[in-house]
Parts: sequence; structure tokens; C-alpha cells
Amino acid sequence: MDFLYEVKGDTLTIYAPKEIDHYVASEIIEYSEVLMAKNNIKNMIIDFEETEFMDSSGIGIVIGRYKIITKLGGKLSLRKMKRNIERMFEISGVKKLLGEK
Amino acid sequence: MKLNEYSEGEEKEMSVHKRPLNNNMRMEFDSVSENVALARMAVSGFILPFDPTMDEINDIKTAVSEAVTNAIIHGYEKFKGTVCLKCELKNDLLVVTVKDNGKGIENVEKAMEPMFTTKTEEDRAGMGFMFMNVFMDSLNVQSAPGFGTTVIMTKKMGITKQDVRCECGNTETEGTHPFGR
Ligand SMILES: Nc1ncnc2c1ncn2[C@@H]1O[C@H](COP(=O)(O)OP(=O)(O)O)[C@@H](O)[C@H]1O
Ligand SMILES: [Mg+2]
Repeated sequence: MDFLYEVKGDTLTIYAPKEIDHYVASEIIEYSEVLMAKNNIKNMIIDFEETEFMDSSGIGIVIGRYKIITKLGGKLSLRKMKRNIERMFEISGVKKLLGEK
Repeated sequence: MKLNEYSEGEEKEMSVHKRPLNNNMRMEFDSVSENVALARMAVSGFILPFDPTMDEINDIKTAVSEAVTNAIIHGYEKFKGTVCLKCELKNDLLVVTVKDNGKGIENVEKAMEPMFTTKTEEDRAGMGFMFMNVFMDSLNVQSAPGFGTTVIMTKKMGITKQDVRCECGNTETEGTHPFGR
């Protein structure tokens, strides 16, 4: 597995890897689904502190997780994005979707 | 040739002109998603001698990542094929071509619409073409079912920064970049 995670109560924090593309995206999606089911997760935080590159596969991950988490009545938050990553979320409309300024 | 054989003025002249103004690169690789990172590395290495800004590097890497990913996951899907990545620098114009001989696109115009994807079950955002469009200056897609897909993208590399540096040797000109969006 190429990324770290942390479970605290019903919140799963995913520490995103250095580069997010299609190759790691499928891994993140699969593992987060397993972790969510096992730990009764309701909320999710994705931490981008280590992330230096992301393409639209990352947007796909976030939109997909947003749909699942919202259905559960929980909250998805994105954290510690570098400028170029934040720009991807702005252009794609994800920031608006998550209600971040 | 040893640099210290030149007078100071000539040295400066050389450091301005040593930047190669024309270059070509062509590579072919298997259609496995591990190779998208390889393509990104190759294109970053290719533009590095042109002293790109961080924004330029990120923009170009993202666009290449999108086009190569598409060739692999949509063009060839589960089949094994070859993806061709070509980079050309003509003066300050970067031309990137990504070509596959995969299944091709039925309706290119529709495929290029933001949020359109044929892989709805796979958490694809349908934003690949949109990012190629935003991050490059031009995007051209040639495709037909059964005939594969060719994506040609161009981007002007920072001429102002280079010009400023040539005139006064100022290296702190980031931000005064006409093409940095
Ligand atoms: N090289 C290709 N070969 C075949 N189909 C492609 C290719 N590139 C793009 N497509 C089609 O265009 C659609 C949109 O592409 P894109 O904007 O990158 O979104 P996504 O990859 O998330 O689906 C894809 O879903 C696919 O149907
Ligand atoms: Mg795509």
C-alpha cells in the first residue's frame, strides 16, 4: 500500500501519497472502502501534505468519496493542499462542491 | 571548451545561448498505468534545460498525465498496446503528441465536454480533456473508432523571463510570466 491512514472514532484520515494518478487512485479507493466498512466510518479527511502532483484521477477519488460520505450523513474535508493541488480542486469545481471557500 | 578561456562578457553571452532552442524526443512504452509516471518524468526532464517555472512544469506534467492515462485506460483498456509520446521544442514552443492505436473515440466533441466519461463505474471525473485544455495553449484531438487516438498539445515556454534574464541577468523574474495562468 502506497499511502498511510488513521482511524479515530468514526473518522478516517487518508494521508495521500506524493503523486496521485490513476495507478494509485484505484489502490486508495479499494483500501478506503475496506477500511470504511471495517471501522464504521462516517467522516473522512484527506491530507495532502505529502502530495506534490495530482491529475484528474485525484478529482475522481474526491468526488467519489464525497458521494459515499454524504450518503452516510458525514463530512469529507480536504487538508494541507499545496497551491498546485488546490488549483486543481478550484478548476474542477470540487472546492465549491465541498463548500470550501 | 574551457569557460575560463573567455573574458567575462563572452562568458555571459555563452550562458545565454547555451540553452538549446530546438530539441526532439520520442519514446514508446507499454500500456500499463505504471508508465504514466514514466511519461511525466520524461517530459519534465525534456523541458528542464529551458528553465521552466514551477507552474509550467506542473501544467505540462498534468496535461501529459491526462493524455497518457487516457491512451492506456480508454484506448487500450485491458489490452496490451504501445503508447507513443513525442516532445518537440521549436524555439519557445513545446509540442507534445500522445498517440495510441487503441479503440478510438466515436464522438470527439462529446468526449471533450467537462464531466463526460464512459467509465462511470470507475470514479473517473471526466475532466482529463478539460485539464489538458486549461493547462496548455492549444489542444487538438484526432480520433476515429478502430483507428486509435492522437492528442497534440502546444504550450509557449516563458519567453519574457528569458528575455529579461538576457538583458540584465536578473534571475528573480518569476511571476512576471505572460503565460503562467
Ligand atoms: N485515447 C483514448 N482512446 C479512447 N477513448 C478516449 C481516449 N481519450 C479519451 N477517451 C474518451 O473520452 C472520455 C473523456 O476523457 P477524459 O476527459 O479524460 O475523462 P475520463 O478519463 O475521466 O473519462 C473518456 O471517458 C473516453 O470515453
Ligand atoms: Mg482521462
